[in-house]
Amino acid sequence: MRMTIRRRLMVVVAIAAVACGLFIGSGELVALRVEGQMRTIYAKYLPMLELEPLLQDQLETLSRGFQDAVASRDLDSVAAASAGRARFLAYVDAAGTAIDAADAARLRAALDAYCTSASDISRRLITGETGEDLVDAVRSMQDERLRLSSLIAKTATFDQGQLAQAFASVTRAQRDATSYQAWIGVACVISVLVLSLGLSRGVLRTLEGLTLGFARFGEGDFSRPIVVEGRDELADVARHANQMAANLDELGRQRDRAEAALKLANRELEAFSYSVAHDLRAPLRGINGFSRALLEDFRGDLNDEAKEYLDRIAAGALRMGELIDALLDLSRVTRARLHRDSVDLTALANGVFKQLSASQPDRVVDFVASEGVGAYGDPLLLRALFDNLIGNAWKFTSRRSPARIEFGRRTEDGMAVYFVCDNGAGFDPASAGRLFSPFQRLHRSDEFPGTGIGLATVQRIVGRHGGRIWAEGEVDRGATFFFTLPDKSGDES
Amino acid sequence: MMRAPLLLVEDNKDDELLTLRALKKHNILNEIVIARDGAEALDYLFGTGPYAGRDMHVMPQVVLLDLNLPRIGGLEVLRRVRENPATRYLAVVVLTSSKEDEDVIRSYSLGANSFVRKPVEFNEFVEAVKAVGLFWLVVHHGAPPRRDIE
Repeated sequence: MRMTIRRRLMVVVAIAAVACGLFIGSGELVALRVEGQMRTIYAKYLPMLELEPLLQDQLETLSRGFQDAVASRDLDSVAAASAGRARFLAYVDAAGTAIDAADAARLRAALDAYCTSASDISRRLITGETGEDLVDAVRSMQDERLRLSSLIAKTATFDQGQLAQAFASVTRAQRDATSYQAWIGVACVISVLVLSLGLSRGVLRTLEGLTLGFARFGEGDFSRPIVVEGRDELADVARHANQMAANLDELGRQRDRAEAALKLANRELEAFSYSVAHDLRAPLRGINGFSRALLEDFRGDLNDEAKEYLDRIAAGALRMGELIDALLDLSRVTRARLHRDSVDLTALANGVFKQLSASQPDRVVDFVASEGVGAYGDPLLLRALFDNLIGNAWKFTSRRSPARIEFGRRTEDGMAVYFVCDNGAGFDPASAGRLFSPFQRLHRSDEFPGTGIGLATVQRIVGRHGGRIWAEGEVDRGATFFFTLPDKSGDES
Repeated sequence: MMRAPLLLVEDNKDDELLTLRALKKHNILNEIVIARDGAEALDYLFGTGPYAGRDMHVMPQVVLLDLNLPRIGGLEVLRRVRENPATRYLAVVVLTSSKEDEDVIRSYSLGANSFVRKPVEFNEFVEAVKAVGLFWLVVHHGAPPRRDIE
């Protein structure tokens, strides 16, 4: 049978209950016995207390009855006096066990003898009889009365020594019972104590093992399970904990494997990027370089059409180089480790704009950046983000006058949303979903040149920071790019 | 004074031709030694293998070193050049396709004197080669060549 803690507790409680019952029962038993003995003593000795004077009194009454009958010379009175015998016997009977049956028989015999003599003598005296015989009879009758009287005295008085003995025996019985009861009590207390201690020691030892095991699990050491003896509830807890630890261990191993696989994939991706950077660019250099060399060294031998074709070959190679660079930038954004810090976005936006202005000094663009806008993020990646977003705005406002670009922050639902807004060419809202996909362009490249990688890079940068990006715009009414960046605590803000 | 040669370590024939053309275009008339992989470059620099017995007093005034090379990579070449007392002070310009941060950092940490990225656009390429050539062949005075071999 499974000895659960619940069962063991119930056993202890049951034993304690039985012990209490025994204790109380034995007390009750002792009380009952003492009461019984006392009752016997009462029954035996109480009636005796007034029995002797009563019986002597009855004897006296009986004798006087006969004397009165003689004095009145009435035979009938003699019979009436004899009735005193029955009264006397009634008292003897009423005394019950206070008088031994043998004593009672002796009393009865003596009484009968006296009554017979007394009534006989009374009749003889009434009838006027005299003589020696009568005198003898009277004397013998008086002897009988004396005998009866002394018998009463002997029977109806109790021996004080005997009473004392009876009480002593009751007291002794009571004392014995009390000491037995005390032993029973002590035995019960000790057994309950021992059982409780055994139970709690077992539980505490198991708990100690559990605590150590959980501490080990808490530190991530799942190498050894918790060892618990027995099959109680705590053993169940240990078994569940071991199961949990095994699961965690397996999860950890899976995670390690996934991490290793990810690391490997990252390394492969890095190797791939590296070889793209080197090996794909080299042939482009050849194409571009030799086209240019042809144009320079054989200019005189080529007609305008041939020169234009060579120009296109060189430009195509150049453009492919740009695409490769943009792709590498995009993959670098994905691979780069984030080094977050507090970044002054206002300064970053102003710096990017200044650079753009310097590259095209003839363009007039009204640029507004809100003061004191900061964020928590990777300075280099955020710089790349602004390069792309403000660069985009710069590019798509090239046919506007006056062109206007704005950077700022506003609060939506208690959360900071950064935005870059322009009044440029905008985009068709229906195509907004394609904005952030690599190589997706919503404008013709002869209108607005570009690689189609910039916004994909921006989206990845925001994604790497755990933020969101979205855009609103209309054709020819400008575009606004919104993004969020989680703050230091990891909440979007 | 005889001009010290220039060592071009380059495995890509196109890049080699374009580099030579760019150098010629800018009137850089030094002898140009070409090594097609890292091992060959080291053979030339240390006078071993096919270059055993060459005049070791002649050391290149500048080494144009590609990173992505067969047999022995460019960074390893750079490491061995810097390890050897005879070539420790040689001017080495890393000339490569890559602009990966790691390449730049590793090149400089191994003691490259300069790092130039080969652009796709030929004219920029010419400018880059010109800048390197002018600086290292005309302006820069290399460390004195080693006089004898112990």
